[in-house]
Amino acid sequence: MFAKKNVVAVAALLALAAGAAQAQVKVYGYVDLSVGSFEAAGGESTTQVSSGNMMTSFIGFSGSEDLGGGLKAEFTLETFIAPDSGQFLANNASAGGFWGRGSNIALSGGFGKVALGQYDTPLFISGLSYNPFGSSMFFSPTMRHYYGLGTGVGATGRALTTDTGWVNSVTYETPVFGGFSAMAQWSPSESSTDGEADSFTVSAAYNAGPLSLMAVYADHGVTDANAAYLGEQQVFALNGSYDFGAAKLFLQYTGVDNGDRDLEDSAMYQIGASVPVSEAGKFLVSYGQLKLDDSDLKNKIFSIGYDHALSKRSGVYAAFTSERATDLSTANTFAVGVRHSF
Amino acid sequence: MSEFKQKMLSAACLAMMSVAGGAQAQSSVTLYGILDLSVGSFENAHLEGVDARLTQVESGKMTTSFFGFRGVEDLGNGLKALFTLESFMRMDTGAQGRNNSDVFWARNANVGLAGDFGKVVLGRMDNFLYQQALMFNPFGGSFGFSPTIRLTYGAFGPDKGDSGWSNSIAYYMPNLSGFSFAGQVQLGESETEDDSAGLMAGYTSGPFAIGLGYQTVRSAELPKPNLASGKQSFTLLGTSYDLGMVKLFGQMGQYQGKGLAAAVDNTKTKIYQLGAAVPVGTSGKVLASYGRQTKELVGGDVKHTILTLGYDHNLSKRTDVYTVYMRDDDNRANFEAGNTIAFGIRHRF
Repeated sequence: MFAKKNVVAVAALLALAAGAAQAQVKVYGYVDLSVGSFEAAGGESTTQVSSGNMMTSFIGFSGSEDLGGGLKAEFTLETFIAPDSGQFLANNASAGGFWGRGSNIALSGGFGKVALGQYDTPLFISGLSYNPFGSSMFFSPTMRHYYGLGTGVGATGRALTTDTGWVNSVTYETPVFGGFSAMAQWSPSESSTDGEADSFTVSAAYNAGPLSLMAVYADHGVTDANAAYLGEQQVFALNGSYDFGAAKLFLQYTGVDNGDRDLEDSAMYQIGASVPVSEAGKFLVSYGQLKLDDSDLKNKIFSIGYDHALSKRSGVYAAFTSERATDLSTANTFAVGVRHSF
Repeated sequence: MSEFKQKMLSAACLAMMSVAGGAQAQSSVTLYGILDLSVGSFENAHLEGVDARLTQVESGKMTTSFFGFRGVEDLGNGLKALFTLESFMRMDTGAQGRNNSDVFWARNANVGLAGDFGKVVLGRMDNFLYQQALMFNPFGGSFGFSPTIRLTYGAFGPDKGDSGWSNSIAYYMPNLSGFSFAGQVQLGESETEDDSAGLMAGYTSGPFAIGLGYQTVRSAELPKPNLASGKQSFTLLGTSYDLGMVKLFGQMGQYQGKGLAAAVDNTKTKIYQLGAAVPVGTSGKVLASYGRQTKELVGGDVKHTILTLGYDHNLSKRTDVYTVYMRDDDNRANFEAGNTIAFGIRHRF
């Protein structure tokens, strides 16, 4: 009668057969450390050992289960880490939650995929997919303009009022039909206070050979239920890339409409390229500009880098970034780093 | 007893496991968890005219989401060493814990020894009131939908001691012909905090099971605020009978506070619950539970009733989807009932 509590609880809740269910849990992650001289516009330069500059370091756990009939269940739990200091890294997306990179359950099948919980948002996916520096929060002009690490422009310091993932969300991804696919995501405000609004976003993508296109529309809401949805705004983004073989070219345009809020509308564009120079090495170059509509303030970021893969999982890199914001001193950053996936 | 064994694919983790103890020690570490996410329109009993309805994506309504590590070491002669480390999380936002003041390993953080003598466990673990509460209602330990759990813990519940105890020692006697007994203490560990204690007894025979839990809470550990004074006692009797085509549940309990800081906490509170679980086909189950809590206040009894109806469907041994309707009612004047409907998915790894 006093079987282990969790077994009794499970027996009370689920119709379990006597056989054990085997589960395979995948443990994976990414560690990135660099050393260099870092500077933000209008600030001073400092020498740092810094983590996560090509991509934010993290550790994750995931598993999938074949439910039969083409149906699959998956779970994902990922947390950011800062190996330079040994801390875990809070993330705006989860309002500082421990599992800030992802926490969700998904069901997928012929109908596509439905996920509940905390899941990447289409603007982040298009943002990282169509610039050569991917999701680098330091070297990618797109990421810095979207999510504002040290842009020094605008009252919030960043153009977008939501972060890379949406908490409390329901996400649907269609299957791929003839190169086309679409995604929709919704997050309720979870509040009955006046003036709070749900968030909703849709995206469509087309991939055919060397050409890739993605368009995103996002209607960001606002809620006091958590700190992840900061203010109402509408965002439209157009992205494209073309792989010529000798080089891959990237183009992005993003428009932000802040409505009645006390923040200016803005427009961002990015042009970049990644140029493979050998089997293991490639050059990355990207230029991005954010411009505020009314005051004409601009933030321009130019980045150039070289990434050398030592294996499928590890590599070294060197990168230089120069940020010029209107009325602020130019900031130059140079860093060399090591990255490792496990 | 079902065991859910998981092998971590990471080479680093395999290396960690084989390093434990010496070369002769056989040990296995299991990484596991239960993740629960739902979307729904939630509304509790509320004052007339107040908008209390919230549309939410929520975590842990059927089972509070958690992950954990546990292991067993065979010490020989039938003796085993056990450890369990479990942490709650809010899957909807990625936040750790059940709330922002929760401790990291709140669900379990303990070491135990098991053998012919029974089992002794030290550390942080479930307390007996919680174990009894979840055993004899069809929604188990559901903090989102179980009338028993919601009327004992949380916003409507009188409990001040949490579902788990820290600084605790529990002893479980071996099962003898269906009879079971266990005792537990939570040490106050300071001059201002007294010890809490609990006893549990049960009997199972075929389709019939009955259990009695009694505990007295005199102190509270994080995340609950400590009791400045006084104590709280709980007695809960539960029974279940499995007829095959339906399993019936019944519970009856009483909570009494004495000398607690807030006068309203010193009232006697009675609770009863009736429930049923009806298997449908090979993978489904209809669940129903009705619970009523009566607080014997000076100005008159206050009754809080919750009726929950649910359907739970197993997509596999590890994944199920559920839908629940819950009606929450308070008999005080100016209160109107709240209705909740939710759809969720639960996955075990």
